[in-house]
Amino acid sequence: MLALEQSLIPAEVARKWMLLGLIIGCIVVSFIGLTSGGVSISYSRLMDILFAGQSSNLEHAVIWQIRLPRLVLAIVVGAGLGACGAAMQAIFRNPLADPGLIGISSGAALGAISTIVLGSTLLSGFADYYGIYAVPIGAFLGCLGVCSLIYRLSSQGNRFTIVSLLLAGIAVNAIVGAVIGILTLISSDQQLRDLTFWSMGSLAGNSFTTIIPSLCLMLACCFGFSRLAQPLNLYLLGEQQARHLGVDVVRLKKKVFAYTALCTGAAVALTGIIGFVGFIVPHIVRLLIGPDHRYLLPASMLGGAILLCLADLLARTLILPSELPIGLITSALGGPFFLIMLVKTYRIKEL
Amino acid sequence: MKAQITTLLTSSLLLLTSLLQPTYADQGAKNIVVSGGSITEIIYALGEENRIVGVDSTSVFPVAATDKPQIGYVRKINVEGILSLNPDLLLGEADTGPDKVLKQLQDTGLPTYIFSDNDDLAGVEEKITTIAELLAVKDKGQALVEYIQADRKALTHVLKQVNNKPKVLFVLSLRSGQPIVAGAGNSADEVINAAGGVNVAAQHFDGWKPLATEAAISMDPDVIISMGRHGEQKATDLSQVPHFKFSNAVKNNRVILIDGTYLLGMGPRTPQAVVELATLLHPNATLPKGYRFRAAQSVPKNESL
Repeated sequence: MLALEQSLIPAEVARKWMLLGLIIGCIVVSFIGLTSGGVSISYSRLMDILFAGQSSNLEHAVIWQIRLPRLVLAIVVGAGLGACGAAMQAIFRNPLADPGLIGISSGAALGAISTIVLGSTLLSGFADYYGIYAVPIGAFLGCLGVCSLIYRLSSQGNRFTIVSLLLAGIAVNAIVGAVIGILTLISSDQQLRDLTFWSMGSLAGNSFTTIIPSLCLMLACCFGFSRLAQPLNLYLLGEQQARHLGVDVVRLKKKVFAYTALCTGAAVALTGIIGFVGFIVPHIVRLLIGPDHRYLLPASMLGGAILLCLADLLARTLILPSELPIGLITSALGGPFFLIMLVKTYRIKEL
Repeated sequence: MKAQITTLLTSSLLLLTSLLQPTYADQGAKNIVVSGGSITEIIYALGEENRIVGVDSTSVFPVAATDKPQIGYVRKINVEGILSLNPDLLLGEADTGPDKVLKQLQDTGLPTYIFSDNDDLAGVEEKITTIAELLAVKDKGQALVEYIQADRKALTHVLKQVNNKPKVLFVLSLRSGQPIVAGAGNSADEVINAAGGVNVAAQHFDGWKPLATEAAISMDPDVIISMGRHGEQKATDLSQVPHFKFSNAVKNNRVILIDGTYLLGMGPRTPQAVVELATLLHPNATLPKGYRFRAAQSVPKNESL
């Protein structure tokens, strides 16, 4: 699966075209996303609002306060999740790996749910002080906490093996799951509903002020990932081989770990848990253009952005005037597409 | 003379306050989006349902309300969906949310009125009065409040005749294999106490919790209430599970099914629902002369416990 010469688009030139196509696709999806929704705004009106500035107050508010922050968030979160997924799959040398393995989802859930359930009692000072930012901050801290615990457990001195990482991840995830279960048990009705919705994920209700810190963090991590393309390619040959070719393997693994924790943590803090993107996007991209990370990483970012924008567009518009949880859509869109790709790949192999 | 002056004073005061009403002093909000079932019910009871342009998914009574555009679940409403309905007021229960979505709505300049957390039996009249004021139909609100007074009087009448309180357990569902039961501090606990019963689970926990088999057996309720098709009295699955099989409630065939929105909705029908519950808990008590149940129960969807 991670070997070369098993992709649908093997030629280097075609891959470059594909990247260009993805960029164009991303722009097209963005414009569709900005023009469609509950309040109808035509394409020409959109241009006026974006570039000429003045318009009726409601339309202006809808674009600048509701749709645009949401779109930017979808693009950056999608890109971040895509990149993290690709890097994780490379580090584990396993196409089934996803960021959840190193405790991100469970850690963020622990942080968010602790804040929701204990926010009025044990952590009341924290919840009052941060107001609507309390849950995102809690989720982010929880994510970092659980990830660093897994990191500590799996790295002894200058050793940081994949097996120990996997085992530590499984064990800590199980423990965190139990704690979340206890918190769920002691929660009141209202808290229970809140945490249920949080774990379903949603991009709603964010303004630019709330998302900017997370955006900066995610973009920085994406930049960091893009510089790891070459060492990751060498790493795919095997740890020993990569070491002989001059790659500091332990450092590479630690970097990927840190970027993934920070990037996914920042994303999950704002949106709740949106599953499947980090797993499915790099997978599909790899089936298309192969495992060369110089193309795989940017294509995964763009693919993730497109998938999440599309999913959010559908979530906002399918059952107007209400809204679907976005995790539902990402799975419904990604799943069948993934299956089709898989079947196609096997056919190519048989020929 | 003195009396006349007083009347003059009060009437001029009233006139003043009516002039000082800042919101919709003329005819109230025209296009209202409602998030919260009891508010929808009250607006329908006031006969002003044509002003509602959107409802949330908890607005299930009257059935006609479910045909209105849906803005999502009360705690998860959708900004753009609401704005697309062009409302001039969002009227919501205390738990309308999420907070950041509500804030976004207010930032776009939509007037919102969110009730503070008083969704209880005593607060029904107050809620009706507030909504009637927002809709500028004060007299209709007054009429509805008076209509409910009959239920309040009937309840006092019934409770005067009883001296023992049966042990009651309110079961939300059996879906997860373990019955989810109402503890202290929720709507079910409130109506049980109001109807002259004792909620046996209240001393053990707050909120809604799954109940272990042996704990349920030791509680031994005299009456079990559950949500379902109204007035049905057949032995349901509730009587089959080991939790309740051996209880007095099942032995004496006192498993009561009551429609959830009617009993727990805390809308204009709930005071009557409590009277009805009181008569079921105390079968020997009589209702006052001339009082009869007037409000409709909603047609429940088929709920399998």
